[in-house]
Amino acid sequence: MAGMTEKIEKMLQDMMADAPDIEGAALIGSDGLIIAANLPIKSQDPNRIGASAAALLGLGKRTIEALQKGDFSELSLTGTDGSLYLYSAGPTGILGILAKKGANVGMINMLARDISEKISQMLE
Amino acid sequence: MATEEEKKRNLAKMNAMIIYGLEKGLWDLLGESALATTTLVGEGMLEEMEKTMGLEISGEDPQDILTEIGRIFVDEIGIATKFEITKEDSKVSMVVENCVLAKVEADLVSAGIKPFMCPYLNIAAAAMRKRMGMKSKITEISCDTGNRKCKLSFQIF
Repeated sequence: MAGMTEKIEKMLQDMMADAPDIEGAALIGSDGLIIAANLPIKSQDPNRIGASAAALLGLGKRTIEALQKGDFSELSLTGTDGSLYLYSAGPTGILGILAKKGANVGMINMLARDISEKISQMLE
Repeated sequence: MATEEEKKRNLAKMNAMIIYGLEKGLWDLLGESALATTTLVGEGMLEEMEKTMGLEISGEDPQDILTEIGRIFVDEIGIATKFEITKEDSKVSMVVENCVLAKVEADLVSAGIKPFMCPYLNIAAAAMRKRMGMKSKITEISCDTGNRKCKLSFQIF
């Protein structure tokens, strides 16, 4: 687990270096456990952030199922000062991306989808 | 009219129904992600145990901390008759015997729901994450209804 965490943290750092609009990124388990993270919000309790992301993922999955729209893949939340994008990373992982206001969403989607696919393979 | 003894039994049944309904509802809504509530629910319970039941968490050995939590559950509250902790490398297991919630937990398991509101599980997860800074992942929740015994395991890292 430790080796995998380091690999994923490196992937998150590289992604952030490629996209300056990304303020933070984390891989979270469906049980809310933060597996790897590079988050700027140090004052917040990471357990709470992990639990919130996992709950959002759960709601997203159930809603997509109820609407018969296939498998859940992504979710976005936008506030006045930025956005949170959540990507399914295999059956038990969620990739969370925190972006600046007015960020290039196309670039973020491209990088995040690629990484979530790689993480999904690692978690299998 | 029910006798006082019957009222006590009915009250226990009512509490079990509330726990079952709450867990089933959250499971239907969130699926496996309902497990994410474990630590948050546990935080509130842990604070209450520290404030009103004399729980004092000190030291860094999860086995010691969980043993003390188990002692309070058995000796002070009487929610179960035995609470045993074993630690093997990074795996910590708790075996709880004759828990008053054993039936509702078994009903949840048989309905395909992981009993994520188990007080031992929630408080142990909160104690490890909040007080000791350890990450823990639930790896096993099993209930043996016949012997009224539950086994809960974590991996710590």
